[in-house]
Amino acid sequence: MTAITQNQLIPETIDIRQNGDDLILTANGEELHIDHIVRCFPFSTPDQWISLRDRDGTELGLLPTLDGLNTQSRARVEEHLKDRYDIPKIQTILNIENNKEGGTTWDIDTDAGPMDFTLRGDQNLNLNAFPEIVFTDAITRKRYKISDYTKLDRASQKIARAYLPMSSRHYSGRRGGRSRR
Amino acid sequence: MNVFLRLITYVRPYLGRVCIGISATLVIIGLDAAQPLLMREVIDNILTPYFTEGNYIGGDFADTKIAADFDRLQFYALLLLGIYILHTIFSFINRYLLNRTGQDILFSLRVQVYDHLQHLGLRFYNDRSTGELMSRVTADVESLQYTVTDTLERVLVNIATIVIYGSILFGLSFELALITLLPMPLYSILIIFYNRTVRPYYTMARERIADISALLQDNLSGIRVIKCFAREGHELSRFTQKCKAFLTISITIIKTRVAFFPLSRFIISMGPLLVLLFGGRQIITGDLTIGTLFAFQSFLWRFYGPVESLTRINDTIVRAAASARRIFEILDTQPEIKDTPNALPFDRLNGSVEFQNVTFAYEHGPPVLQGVSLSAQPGQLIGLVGPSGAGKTTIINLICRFYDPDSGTVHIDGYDLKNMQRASLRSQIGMVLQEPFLFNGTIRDNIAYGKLNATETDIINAAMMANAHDFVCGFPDAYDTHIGERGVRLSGGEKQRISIARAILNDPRILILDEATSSVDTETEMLIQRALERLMEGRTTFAIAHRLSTVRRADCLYVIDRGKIVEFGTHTQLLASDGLYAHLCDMQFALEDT
Repeated sequence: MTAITQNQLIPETIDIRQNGDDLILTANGEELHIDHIVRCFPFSTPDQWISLRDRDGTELGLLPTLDGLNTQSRARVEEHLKDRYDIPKIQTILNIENNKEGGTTWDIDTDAGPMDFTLRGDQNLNLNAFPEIVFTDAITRKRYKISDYTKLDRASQKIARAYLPMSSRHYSGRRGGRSRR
Repeated sequence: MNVFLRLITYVRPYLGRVCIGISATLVIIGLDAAQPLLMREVIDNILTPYFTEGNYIGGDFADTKIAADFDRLQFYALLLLGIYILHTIFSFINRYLLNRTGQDILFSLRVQVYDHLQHLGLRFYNDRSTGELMSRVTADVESLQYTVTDTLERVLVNIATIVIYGSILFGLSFELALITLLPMPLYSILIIFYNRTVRPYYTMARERIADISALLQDNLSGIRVIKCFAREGHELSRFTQKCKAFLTISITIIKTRVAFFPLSRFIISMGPLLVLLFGGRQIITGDLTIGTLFAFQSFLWRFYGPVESLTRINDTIVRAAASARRIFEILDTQPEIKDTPNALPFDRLNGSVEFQNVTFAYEHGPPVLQGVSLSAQPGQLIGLVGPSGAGKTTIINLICRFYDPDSGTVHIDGYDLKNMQRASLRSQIGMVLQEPFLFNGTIRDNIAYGKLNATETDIINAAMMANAHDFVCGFPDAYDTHIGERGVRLSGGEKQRISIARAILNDPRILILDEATSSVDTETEMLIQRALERLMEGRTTFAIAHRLSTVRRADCLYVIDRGKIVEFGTHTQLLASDGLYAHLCDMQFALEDT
């Protein structure tokens, strides 16, 4: 991996610790307050290029990878990433309806309770890691995911199938495809 | 070459497959032909002896004969079962191979048309609408589906079938076979008349569909303008008119078809009628057996079936030819700018550019450049200023070799562009335009368009240099954010910085900036300007600017008016000379003061 010209941090040389509510980055002998941590490529390469940012959104540093961080720092970063990127997992698809805005409204049951979201076209869908499917709400930009489409119950699969642009390619690596329930 | 025959040449790469498919069909015809013959055997030699004048007399025969006839009956039934099984297998082979080949041909045709379109020059696109071209690549190609392979197969198979069944008919009864052919001359005249009538209608129908596609593409792209001017009603009326034009031509085609096909069927029906009349008479006079007439009638429809089928194929060919003609029209268009056979590739450019007495006019128009001479040294910033329509963009078009000058030469690194390969030139030119074009995809995809094998590190580096990294990381999906068609989800300034990052990754040796900061607010302009300064470092840059402050620090400014360079020099020199540039500056600063 070649170097970024600006802001790149060397994982082995920094420390990230929790101090009460504050997350503190220590780099080059300087202490900086981290407000939030973002993945530069949350879908395509989620484990590389992690950006540490202050309250104004200014980048404090870029981590090429979490490898090399000390155990405590790595745990803190992973914890924050989990909070930011842990998205509700869809367990059942209850209903899908066309809405007046030209999209579809999905009523779902998730591990965080019943929810609904709106899709407007394929750009709100990410099938790259099929059988995992990630949905982005066209209005709120919140994300929801089906961890393994093939393990959804049959009724949910039947409801979703008509709305998902899946080809035989998506079924070729099917594992089981039977309901858990 | 006839359009359809030209279409058939696309079968060549798949000839083996098509031959197997057609052979399978011939086997199917053979199997079809065997069925009535077997039935004749069963009727005439097994069943008929048990009847006299329609009465059953089976009890008069010995049990051994009845048992033997049962065995024969079972044998023929098994034989027919075998024929049905083979029929199914060969039908599968035939359908799969020919349909697959049809799809492969459509695929290669579509790719060929697209590839050809990419190589056609800007002049070609100036004269055509995007929607119309899209219609040719999609709808016209689609309408050829099954045409090539299916038609070829059906023509060959139907001719073979006609010959086979015709021979059988003549074998069964020469007189009846002659009677069968009686309607054919009238039938042929009808087909010729139909082709002449319907052919232009099919062509018109394809053109009307393309008109609809063109209007649709235009209106959907300009939906904001339509809404702003509240012209929905007006546009609906225009769209309805286009659809009506298509409807009218479609109805004309329907009228022609519905008149033709029943009429042709009527003419064909005369054959079996005459055969029944003459065949029945021969049975009564004892000149023909019932089994033979039964077999003849069965074969008769198998003979007329292919004849009718050929009529429908003819209709398919006429319709497909209308689409094929429009596709070949594109393929036959030659790019106005082509690499000469001895054209040389550019290695990495130094970036010196020289125009020597260049004159140029767009097709059939007045000269837009007249005797233009200018030069740029590697790494210099050259400003092109002047009123709208003066010829600034044409100079850029000639540097990119979108056009060749009518007279004079354009040299880059001392080489005349006419002797160089276009791809090696253009791959080293980067452009940042007033309205940046981004593709429907993620920010990552759009930046990496400048270098297809870019790593995440390259992408982030380029975005940082373009002052884009911070706003990109502000999006929930950061670089994986989908930006929509033409980057609709980004602001003008954001789009511009993504396009700069893309240009940075491309690492061009010559950079074209066409009013890159003209449509953004002052703060964004500052961010873009800084990004552009990083981008310009070490590259020869041509900047077109109406806002003269943005090119003030140019190494040389060329002032262009009505296709001629009227003055050139640095900002200070030009102000001192008190010419057009000084006048433009005065007007602009006065405007800014108000």
